Amino acid sequence: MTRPVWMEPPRPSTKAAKAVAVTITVALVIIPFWVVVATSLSPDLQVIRNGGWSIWPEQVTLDAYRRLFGSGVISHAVLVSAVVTIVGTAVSLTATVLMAYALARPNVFGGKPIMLGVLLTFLFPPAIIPSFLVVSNLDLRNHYAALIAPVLISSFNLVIMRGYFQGLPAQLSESARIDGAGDGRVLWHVVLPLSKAIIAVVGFYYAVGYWNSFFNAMLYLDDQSTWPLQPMLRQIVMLGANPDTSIAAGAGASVAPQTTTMATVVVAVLPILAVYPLVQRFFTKGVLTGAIKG
Amino acid sequence: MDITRRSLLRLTGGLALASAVPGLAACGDGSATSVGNAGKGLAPLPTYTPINLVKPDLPGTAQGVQDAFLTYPQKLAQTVDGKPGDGSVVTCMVITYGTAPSPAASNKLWTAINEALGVDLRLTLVPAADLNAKYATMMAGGDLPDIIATIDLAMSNALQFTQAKCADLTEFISGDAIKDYPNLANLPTISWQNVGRIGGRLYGVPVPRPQLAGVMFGNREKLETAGVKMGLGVSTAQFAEGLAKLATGKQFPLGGNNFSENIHLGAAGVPSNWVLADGAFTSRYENPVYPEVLQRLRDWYAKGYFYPDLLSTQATQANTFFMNGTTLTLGGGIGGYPGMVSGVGDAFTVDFVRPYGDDPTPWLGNGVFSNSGRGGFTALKKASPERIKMLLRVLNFLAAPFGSKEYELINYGVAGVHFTTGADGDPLPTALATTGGENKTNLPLQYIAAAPYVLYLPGNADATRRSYQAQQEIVPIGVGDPSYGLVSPTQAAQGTKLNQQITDVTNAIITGKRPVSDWSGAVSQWKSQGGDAIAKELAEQHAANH
Repeated sequence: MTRPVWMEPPRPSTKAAKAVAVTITVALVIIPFWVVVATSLSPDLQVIRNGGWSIWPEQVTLDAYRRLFGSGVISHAVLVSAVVTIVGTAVSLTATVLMAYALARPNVFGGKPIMLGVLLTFLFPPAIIPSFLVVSNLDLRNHYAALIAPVLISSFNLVIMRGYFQGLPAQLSESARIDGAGDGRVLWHVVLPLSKAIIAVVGFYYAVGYWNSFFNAMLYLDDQSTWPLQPMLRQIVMLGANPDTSIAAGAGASVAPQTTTMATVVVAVLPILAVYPLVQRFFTKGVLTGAIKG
Repeated sequence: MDITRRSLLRLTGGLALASAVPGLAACGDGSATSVGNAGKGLAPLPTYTPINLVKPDLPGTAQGVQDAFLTYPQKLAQTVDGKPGDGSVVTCMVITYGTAPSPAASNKLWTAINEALGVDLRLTLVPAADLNAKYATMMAGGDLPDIIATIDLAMSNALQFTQAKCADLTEFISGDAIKDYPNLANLPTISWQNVGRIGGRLYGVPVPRPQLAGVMFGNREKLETAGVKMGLGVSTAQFAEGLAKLATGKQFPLGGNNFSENIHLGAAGVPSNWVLADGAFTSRYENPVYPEVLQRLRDWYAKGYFYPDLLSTQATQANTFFMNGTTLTLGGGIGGYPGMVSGVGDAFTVDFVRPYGDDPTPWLGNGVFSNSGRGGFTALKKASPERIKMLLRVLNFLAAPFGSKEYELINYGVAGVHFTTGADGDPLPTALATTGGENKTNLPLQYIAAAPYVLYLPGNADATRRSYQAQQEIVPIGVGDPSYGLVSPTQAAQGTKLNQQITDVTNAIITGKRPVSDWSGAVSQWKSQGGDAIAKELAEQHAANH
């Protein structure tokens, strides 16, 4: 960072204090992640001895990952999750942009009641059973569409995007209109190029939402082998919660799934961590926009 | 449309009213009384016809000590002739505590079981954490699977649902009719009794469990060095002295993820959840000894005998702490014993802490499996008598007892594929069964129907003997809960909330956040908010059943 000419160079003590503060902050973020990774790579016995975690594997082992991917079910689930996330984000983003653009325009026919309808869903979020009945009666059960359709448009994201569109100078679209552009052309050539930040942010919200959601799959997909990653991982994390614990003879599973649990966390978090740097540059700007122009 | 405050209110108010109406109607339709058994002719319970395939090395007792086997039987019997199924698709919803199995087509265990059953079994496996939500949607959606396993009595309207939507099994299983399904006739009467009747009729098939359900595992060597021997007759003072010696600040004699009050209440002679006397039910909360036990646990907590973060510890973590010696005891289900023994390995001896005190009344379980512990059963969707019989034959197959070929298939898989036979004849899992995930935890047929639980730890006869010995000592002085199998609509509707309230108070008292003197107020509140109603309903049901 370049220093403006009128500022004095920082004193060494200030520099040192800053370095310490930054180091501590970074450590607070990194260390928990490191413990997760280290535990997932440690032998079970070490983790048990240590009380459920380890900071340095005595011996690096991939046993936990082998247990996780052993039956091939999890790798299939990763694929399902990836497809649902990509398709879902694309469809959701398209639908949200179109609706937000329409609702952002003044004097659209039916605009206000529709907007009111959207806002009402904030007040009355759908409960499990009504949602289930709707999905079931639309014959969406046991289709992957059931993971996308019920959450196609998030009213929160819609409101943010509408606010952003409303904040764009009206003169831009008016001049495009004078030049003969229709709504489609205005949206595509004027509004969208100006809205990259908000699209990146809302897209990221959607992607994280699809990637993380676990409950709908449990509710709408009967066959576990068709499930996406998260509900599977959740099951692994909760393995120890059996009051009856019949891990009896035969199953041979050890009762120390802490390493598997941590491996699970790594698998669940990795894709998000990988994607985040790509959209990060839009992120600060976009989030701020949403916050001040609701 | 212009939205004003007024119009919004009108709109939302209208919505609120509209949604309230069905709720009220549901309260008033009197369904609560029709599931009861009062004033109805009671269908006889299935006639108990025990099967003795293999002579147990350590025989169980009628009171509920499990049959124990030190070695795996050499010769297995066939209990089902031919295939029970008719080749059709059979759908089934059942709880799972495992991870997802690979699909039936590529799963050798599932394929073998389908082949043996003669059906195309399609399972909807519901993770335990989602059980209530999933079953609520199933009940509301009305799209039922053929076999509805793990219906839990703690689910709201479980009985009303079963009565309205599931098949009345009375004519197929009541009395001697059960003899068509010999493996089901082998289920002990107490498990049928504790499933109970609905409107006087039989709807459910139980998944039996040992009578001794809640136990306290102990680190035998450590406890014995502090004078807590593994046998009856340890006085409360001796027990407390032992705890004092063992609490070092880094080591906590009492572990778990809750205070295991049941164990300590039983030790102090507070019998079971409910006490039945002269036809009236009294809750354990009203027992005068209860506050004394709270005071004792509160003292122990203050002295550091309990693991301090116990209430925020997860079950898996609590297990880990016990296994690595941070804690020396652990409350849990007796079914967890084999897993605990193999998890601890040679580090120490896992044994059962016996009820301490002068006149302990350890609590017995209800003898059936359910996720909540309240009780539960497997029911069938309404269908033609032929199909019901076929489904019952499937359940009969799944309930094949230890020592049968069917039991081996369900529990250990296919010989040579899922297990190999060890030097002593014990079935040892192969990699496909462990890391490959093809095992009974991930394909949880054991929660659809099962034989009475036997005690058998492959290759660990000593561990088997320890559990057997503990059961021999504890079961005879154990006390069952007279409310098992009785229906209380108030309990079904509000039990969870009421229990939570009283648990919160208990925890606050033990951890020193509230004085023990708050207890009587909490109990009065519990009584007035539903406890009294539950007691009254249980008494009516009991009178109707006897």
